[in-house]
Amino acid sequence: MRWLLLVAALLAGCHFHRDSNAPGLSDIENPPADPAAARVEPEDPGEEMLAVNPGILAGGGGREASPQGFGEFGLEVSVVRGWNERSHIEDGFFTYPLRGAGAALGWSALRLTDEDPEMGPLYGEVYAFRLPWGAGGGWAWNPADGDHGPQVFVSGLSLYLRARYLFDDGAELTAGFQGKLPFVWVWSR
Amino acid sequence: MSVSHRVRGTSLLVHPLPLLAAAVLLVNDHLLKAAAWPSAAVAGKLSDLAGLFLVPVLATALTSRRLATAWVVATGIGFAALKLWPDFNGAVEAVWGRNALDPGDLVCLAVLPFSWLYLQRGSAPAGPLRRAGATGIIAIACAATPAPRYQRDYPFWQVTSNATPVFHCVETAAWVVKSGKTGFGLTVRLHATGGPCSVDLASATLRLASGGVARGVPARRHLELARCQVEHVYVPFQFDSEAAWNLGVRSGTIELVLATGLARDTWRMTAEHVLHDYQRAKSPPAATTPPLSACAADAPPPKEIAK
Repeated sequence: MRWLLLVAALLAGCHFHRDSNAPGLSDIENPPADPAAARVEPEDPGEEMLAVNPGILAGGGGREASPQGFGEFGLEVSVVRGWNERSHIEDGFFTYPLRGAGAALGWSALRLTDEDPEMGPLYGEVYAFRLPWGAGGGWAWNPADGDHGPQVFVSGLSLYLRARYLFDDGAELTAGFQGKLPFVWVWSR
Repeated sequence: MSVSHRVRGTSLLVHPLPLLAAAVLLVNDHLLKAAAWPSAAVAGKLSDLAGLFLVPVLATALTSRRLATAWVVATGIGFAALKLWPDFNGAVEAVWGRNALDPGDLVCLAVLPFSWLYLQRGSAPAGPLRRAGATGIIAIACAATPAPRYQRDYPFWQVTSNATPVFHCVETAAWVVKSGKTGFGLTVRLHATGGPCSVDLASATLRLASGGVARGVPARRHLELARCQVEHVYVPFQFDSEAAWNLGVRSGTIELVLATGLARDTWRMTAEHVLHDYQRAKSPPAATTPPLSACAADAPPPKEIAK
């Protein structure tokens, strides 16, 4: 676990460049304004990105089934395809698409209630985002009892609100914090 | 057992020294380096000093105190390799961004003994929130290490041979002035050093290494040049340069057919599509054109000989 933390600390926010589509935008047809110019710099076509985001969720919620209140800790990994109108600068802090769409697999792994801890459902979601906002939906399935049903979520920055309806247990609403360590592959548009 | 080790380990970070080093790293990287204050060299060294102190402390905190000496040594070796070994420097840059290959930065290794001494001292136990907060701040400071300002670079076609031949009455030069996804534009400079000169640009052809051919369309085909007159002709070659790039077709031959008076010559140049790096300094050296040779009409009038 400590080694995992060390590797995560070292790689947090890493991104990797690919040189696909690398040429820039340039008006080739027309001559430069200065006929003797040595070089006219190409313009920025923007960037495409693929991000893999493993992370954790921590929050709490309420539900129709008993016990109604619970704290929740979960795991989630999402894969996102996005783009930016302008290319990143190398010395920017995190490189991440400002808009895009993706899919996530998650697990509300641990639920703490007044009674015994319990295991929450697994889920798959698809979503779209335009930072700082995101929204999506998917399906949840609880391996403990086979209960399943649809779910939707909205997020703002690192906060999320998720509503879920399980056909046996009924509705539940959870909210909390999601922390992710993105690994991003970047190439030109 | 492992929990107890972790508690003691991350308590190392809850101390003014590593937090101060993290603050120096953040302020220096995000403010001072960009402003080159007090100077680019000092700002660069400050980050190296703070980083060299922090990295073994953070690594030890997240692993085991038994490895403290090993982490200090590994940090020193890694830093030396980063500053001396171009391949290693390139590999690190690919992941973490620009880092100067500068042996002069090795002077900062002097901070490592202080890092080792710090790791030998005992650390007071700290609560989980303080440990988590200090670990987070220091990890972010270590990861967010921007160098001076960079921006994206793009592949650019370049004339790599035979760029300045002489054809009878005219000296020529050619360079790629525009390059992008839809082709490139060539500037042809004509300098009538051999007296008044009539030049026809009969045709312009790009033959890619893959066998593909693109025709250039000179903006002007016929020029009447007075003695020592200089003219520039723009020749765009429009083709799917992005597709060629993606297919790995990154070289070709440019053929210009020039008629000067009664003579007709084919000027062949090789060209390559070159990308130096995904990012480059925002203020690169200014691009230059081939030097213009002296021409008799350009020369100052001869001095009168005193009698």
